[in-house]
Amino acid sequence: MKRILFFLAIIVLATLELNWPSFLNFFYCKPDLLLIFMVALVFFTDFKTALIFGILAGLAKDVFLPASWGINTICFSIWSYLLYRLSRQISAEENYVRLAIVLAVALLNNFVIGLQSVAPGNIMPPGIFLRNLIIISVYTTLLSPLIFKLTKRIAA
Amino acid sequence: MQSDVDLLRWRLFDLRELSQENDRLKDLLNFKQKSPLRLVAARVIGRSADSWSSSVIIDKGRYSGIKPGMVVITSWGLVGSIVESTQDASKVLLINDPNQGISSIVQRSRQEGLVSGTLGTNLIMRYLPDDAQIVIGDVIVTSELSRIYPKGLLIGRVVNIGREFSGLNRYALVKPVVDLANLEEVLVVLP
Repeated sequence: MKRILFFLAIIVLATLELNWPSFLNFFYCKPDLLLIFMVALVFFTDFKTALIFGILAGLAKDVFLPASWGINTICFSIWSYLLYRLSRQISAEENYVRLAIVLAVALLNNFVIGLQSVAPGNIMPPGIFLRNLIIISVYTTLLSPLIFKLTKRIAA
Repeated sequence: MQSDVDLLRWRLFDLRELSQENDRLKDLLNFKQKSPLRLVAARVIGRSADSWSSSVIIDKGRYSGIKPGMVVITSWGLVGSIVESTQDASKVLLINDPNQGISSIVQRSRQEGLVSGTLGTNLIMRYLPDDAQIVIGDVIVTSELSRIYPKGLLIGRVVNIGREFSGLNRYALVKPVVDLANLEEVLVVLP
């Protein structure tokens, strides 16, 4: 039952990301809801579930992107594994620790995706690169408590 | 009484929305009838899942004859190209995506350059020589060198001109004529 609910949560979050209202964008940036969900899964479920649904979340994101070689699927699985290792080293019970982890993962993920966008010689002004990197990461972090609550409720 | 007022207000908003949609569709139909191109109208049903790319999903796919590589326009100008199509939906890579590269010319002077997206509000036209015949306000259209875009499609207007970091070339910032952030209906050009 839980697995079906996690699967439904991925579909709902992916649909929400695709149809994110433009008036909720900050400087053309929108939050990465599936990334928060992937991080929340590590905190509230076992490693196997977190890894499987983390990969599915990345896959759901890649399906709707124009570049279809699976960068989010790869990144999400790596972050899931690293976060699992980290969660065994430190205590992530406090909210501010969880927010800091989401911010760090969002910054890393956006840095990788941003580099991948400019790697083939494409032009992206540094201002736009930094704007995307910082605003998406901060916006994602600010919305993470909502997704944490949802994931915690499903996992309970 | 209050519930009647609320109901009427709701209906008024609904009618205003329908009226605006009607105007947009009339505009598209008018363009489709006058245009020499074979066009298929489609509705935008989704946007890019992240902020690092610029794309939309439309509600027409292979069933309507849409295939990757086809050009997407509105009655105002160029929108982008199809990158993937399923039976009933297609992904459109918009012209402000960094992965887009469109061979284009300045309409007035026929100066050639390459227009690509920056994810910002403006596009960038690169590889302009130092003595390029280009001024602010010039109209940029697709050139015949473009592999997938038909010649003469309107892209935008020059809003700024600068010198590239290398000092060898100049670049121009181009404001697209189409409001790419608020696309609702588009036309796909069939070959």
